[in-house]
Amino acid sequence: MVHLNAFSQSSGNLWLSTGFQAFTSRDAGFSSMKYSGPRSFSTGAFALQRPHKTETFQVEFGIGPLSNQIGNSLNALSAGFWNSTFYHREKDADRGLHWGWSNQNLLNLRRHNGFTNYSLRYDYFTSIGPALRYRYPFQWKGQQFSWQTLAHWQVVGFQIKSGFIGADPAGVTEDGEPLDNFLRAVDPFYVGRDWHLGLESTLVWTLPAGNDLALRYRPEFAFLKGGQPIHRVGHAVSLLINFRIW
Amino acid sequence: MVRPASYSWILVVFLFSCDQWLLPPDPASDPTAVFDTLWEDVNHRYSFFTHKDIDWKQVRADYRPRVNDQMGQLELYDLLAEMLFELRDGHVNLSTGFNRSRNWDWYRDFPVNYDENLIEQEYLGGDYWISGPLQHQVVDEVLYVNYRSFGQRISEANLQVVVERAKRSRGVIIDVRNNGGGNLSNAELLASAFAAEEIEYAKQRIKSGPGPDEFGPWEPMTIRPWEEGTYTGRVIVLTNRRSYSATTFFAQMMKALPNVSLVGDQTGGGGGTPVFGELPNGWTYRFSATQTIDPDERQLEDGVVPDLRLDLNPAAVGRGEDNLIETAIFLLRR
Repeated sequence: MVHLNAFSQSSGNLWLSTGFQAFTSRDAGFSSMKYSGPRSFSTGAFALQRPHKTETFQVEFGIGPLSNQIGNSLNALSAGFWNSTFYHREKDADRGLHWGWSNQNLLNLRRHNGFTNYSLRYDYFTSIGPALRYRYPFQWKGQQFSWQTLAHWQVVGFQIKSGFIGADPAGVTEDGEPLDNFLRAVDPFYVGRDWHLGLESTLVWTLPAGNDLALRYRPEFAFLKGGQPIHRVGHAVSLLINFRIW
Repeated sequence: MVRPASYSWILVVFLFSCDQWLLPPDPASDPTAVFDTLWEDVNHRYSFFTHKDIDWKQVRADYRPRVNDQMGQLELYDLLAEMLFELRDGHVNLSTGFNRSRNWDWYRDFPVNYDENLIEQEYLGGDYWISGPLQHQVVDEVLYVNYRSFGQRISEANLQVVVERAKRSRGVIIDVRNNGGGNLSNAELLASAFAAEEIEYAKQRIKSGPGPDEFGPWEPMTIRPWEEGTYTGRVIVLTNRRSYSATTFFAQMMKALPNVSLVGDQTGGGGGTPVFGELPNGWTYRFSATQTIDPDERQLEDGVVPDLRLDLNPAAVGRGEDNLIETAIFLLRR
C-alpha cells in the first residue's frame, strides 16, 4: 500500500532536445591553437520525480567541424551519459533550491583534417560531484511557466586520454591484455587538477495537455590536465519538448 | 518573470566572459613567438635527439638571437628551415604557402644506382603488365616487379596477379629503388604475400613525454602471411639510398623473411613516423616522433643494410644492362 502511494505520487517525463552549440577546444596534442565552431547538439533524458527526490538520466550527442584562426579544421564528436539526483524531502519539488549530486560520463573524439599521421585523438572521463538546482514556477498571460537553473561540478573520477603523440593512451600495447591495457590507460580525475563544470538554464512553458516546451542555455567548461592538456568550452542553446509519461 | 530572466542574462554575459579566462588566447604570431612555438614543440616531441647526439638547447642558443620581430616572412622561413635542418632528418618539413623546407642529404651524396629509362627499355619492354601501381614482366623466367611509390594503393586483386605469376617463375625481383615511401599499409600488404609464417621484423616506440628519452614501451612490428595465398620461393629486393620511409620499413620486413635477400645500397632511412604541428602564423610542419629498431637493435632511421652491397656499374649501363637486376636474376636462377 505504501509502495502504491509512492508510485502514484511520482511522475515520469521524457525530454528531447536539439539545438546548436558554440564549441571551442584546444588539445595540446594537436596544436597550441584553439579550434572553434558551431555544431549540432542533442540530448534525450528521462526524469523520474518522486516525493523526496528527482532523478534524471540523460544521453547527449554533439558533432560538427571546428576550425582555427589559420583555417585548419578538425571534426569533433561528443557522446555522453549524465545522471543527477536532487533531494527535496522537506520541500516543494517544483520550487526552490535543491541539493544533490551528478555523475558525468563523457567521450570526446576529434579527427584533424590536415594531419596525415596521428590525426585522431580522444578523451573520456567518468566522474561524480555535487549539483545544485533552482526552480521557480510563475504565470504570465495566463500561461504556466517555470524557470530552472542547474549547476554541477565534477569532483572525482577517472579519465582515459590519448597519449603524448598518438591516439592510444600511454602504456597501451596492441598485444596487451584488455584489463592490463585499461589499468595502464586509466588516470585519476580530481578537482584542482581537472575541471568540469556544467550549467543549464531552462525556461519551460507548460502546455494545457501537461506536456512542456522549453528553451535551454547550457554552458560547460572542462580542463583535463596530464600528458597533453585539453581545454573545452561549450555554449549550447536547445529547444526541448517534454512528454509526460505518467 | 522579470527577476529570473534578468539573472539569466547576467549569467550568460558572465559565462561568455569566462571563456577568455578559462581558455587562454592563441599564441602570438610575431616571429619570436613563432620561433619559440616551433622550437618548444620539437624539443618535446622529436624522437632522435639522443640517437643523433643533437644538443637542441644549443641549437636554440645559436638561432634565437637571430630572431627579431622586424624580420620578414621569408627571412623567418629561412631561419626556421635552417634550424630544422640541424635535425638531419628527411621526415622534417616546414610548409608555408611559398616554400617547403626539407633535408634530402640522406640520398644526395650517394650513388643513384637506378636508371628508369634503362629498366623500361631493357627489362619491362613494351608489353609489361600493369597491376595497379605494380609494373611487372617475366625476364629470363624470373618475375621482375617495379613499385615506384608506396603512396599508390595496392589492391588485393593487384597482388593476386603478382603472386600467381610469381608461382610460375623461378623467383621474384621486387625493385623499390627510388621509391620514396608512402603508406605503410601498402608495404605490409606487399610483404605479407611473401611470408610463410608470422614474423617479427622490428620494434617501435613512441614519445610519451617531453623529455628527450621519454618513450613508451617497445612494441613488436610483425608481418603475417597474406590470407589469399603467398609465394614463398626466393625473392630479391633491390634498394638504393632513395628507398625511404615506408620503403625502408618494407626493406626491413622483407629482410626478416628467410626466403628474401636485399641487393643494392642501403635504404635512406626514415624510421621515425612523423607527427604534424602548426604555427600561429599559419605555417605547418612535421618531424619524427617514433623510433624503430631491427632485431639487432639497429635504428631504421639509419637505413636498412643490404645483404649484398652493389652499385650500378656505368660500364654495364653502357652495354644496356642494369647489373643489379642481372645479379638478382643470376642468384635466383642459380
